[in-house]
Amino acid sequence: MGSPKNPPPEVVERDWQEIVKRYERLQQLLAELKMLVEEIRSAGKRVVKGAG
Amino acid sequence: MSVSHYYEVVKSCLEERGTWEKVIRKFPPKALEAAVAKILERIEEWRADPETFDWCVLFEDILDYDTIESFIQSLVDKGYLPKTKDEMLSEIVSQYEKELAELGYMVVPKEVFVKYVTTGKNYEAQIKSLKEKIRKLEHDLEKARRELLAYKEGRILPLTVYGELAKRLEERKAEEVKKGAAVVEARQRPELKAELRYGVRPPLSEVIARIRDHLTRVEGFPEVFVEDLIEENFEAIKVEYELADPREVVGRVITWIKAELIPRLTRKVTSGELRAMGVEVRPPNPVSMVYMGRRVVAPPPISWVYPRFMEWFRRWQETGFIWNVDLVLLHPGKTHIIHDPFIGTEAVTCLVTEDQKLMGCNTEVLAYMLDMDRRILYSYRYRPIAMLRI
Repeated sequence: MGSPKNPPPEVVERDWQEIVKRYERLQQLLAELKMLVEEIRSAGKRVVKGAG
Repeated sequence: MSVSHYYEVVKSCLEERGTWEKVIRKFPPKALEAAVAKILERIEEWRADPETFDWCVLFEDILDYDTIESFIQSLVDKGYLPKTKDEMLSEIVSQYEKELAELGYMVVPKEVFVKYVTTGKNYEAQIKSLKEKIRKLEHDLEKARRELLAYKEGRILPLTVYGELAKRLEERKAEEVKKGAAVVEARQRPELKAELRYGVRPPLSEVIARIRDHLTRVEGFPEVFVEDLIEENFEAIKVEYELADPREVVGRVITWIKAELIPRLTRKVTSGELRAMGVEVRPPNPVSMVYMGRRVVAPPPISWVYPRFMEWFRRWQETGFIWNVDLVLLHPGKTHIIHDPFIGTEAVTCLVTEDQKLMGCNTEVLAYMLDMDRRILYSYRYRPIAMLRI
């Protein structure tokens, strides 16, 4: 039995797995966001180039 | 409007405030023109209307800065000017990068995570707080992605940025009004009295301040109407000012406003008169104003408008470009509200294209609901500064 401060290792492992999985999903979301930003930037540059 | 136009606007503002000479000594005209051009560039990048920006306020602190660059940066930092799209995009990305990095330090590798969650007082609470942090980030990232996608596809401007900006501009304007009133109060006009005694005409700015002061004291007169009234009738006020006896100039202009202007502005034009003037009177179509963060639905039929709107109706109809003009009341529903003499000023006037897409709305929007005694029950005011052409 673990105390509130030190739970059983399997509980910690399970929580860690879940959190890391969600953290990786966040990184994926951020990568998608960055890609989107790059697309917007390059679209903006194309417009400026065309206008010139 | 061109750089030269806003340069002149700024010049006249600073002249009125008595700082123009100092400013021009510090920044030569070319540098000031460059500042105006850079500001316009930022505004126009968002297709916002430069007229909705208070150029006097933008330039009031220019003497505090040594370069035009630092001056413009300060306007952005204070929220008076929008960031460029590029700056905004970088900021969004770096904000999430930072937040994710902070989270990463807590959860990877496993040893760090274990240490983090077991050093607190309560394991469950630590886990809960971590999960809450992740949930918020997921939500925010998804939201940002959706907004950017919509923006990329030309559907919206990022609302959050503009909502904040509009709010800060409003707050700044309120401060400005308060400051102006305090200055007027502090002077108690001994100089003006002296000038009048000696028959010297007081400066127009002083007369305008007196008019503003007077109108804000008129009971039941919406404050938002005061600036509109002065702005729209500036030329007429100037004529009155020039014609009047120097000793009576303030009183005469105010009397003229009371006798001529206010009754004219608050007179209602009936639907019959509207038809006679060639204006189509019909129930307006609901306009979805997603760009202002509020949705307006089911407005009532128009039965009358204020004369001040007539000029706009006419102008738009004459252009032939905009054939469908809707006058949308924000808080329809109660007859006594609709027929209040001041309600016309509380409307949003929108230009709507043939296929019902929003082209733009008037620059100043005030919405409030009055009770039977004309007390304001609820109000809010904002400037739709981001007008998209879609």
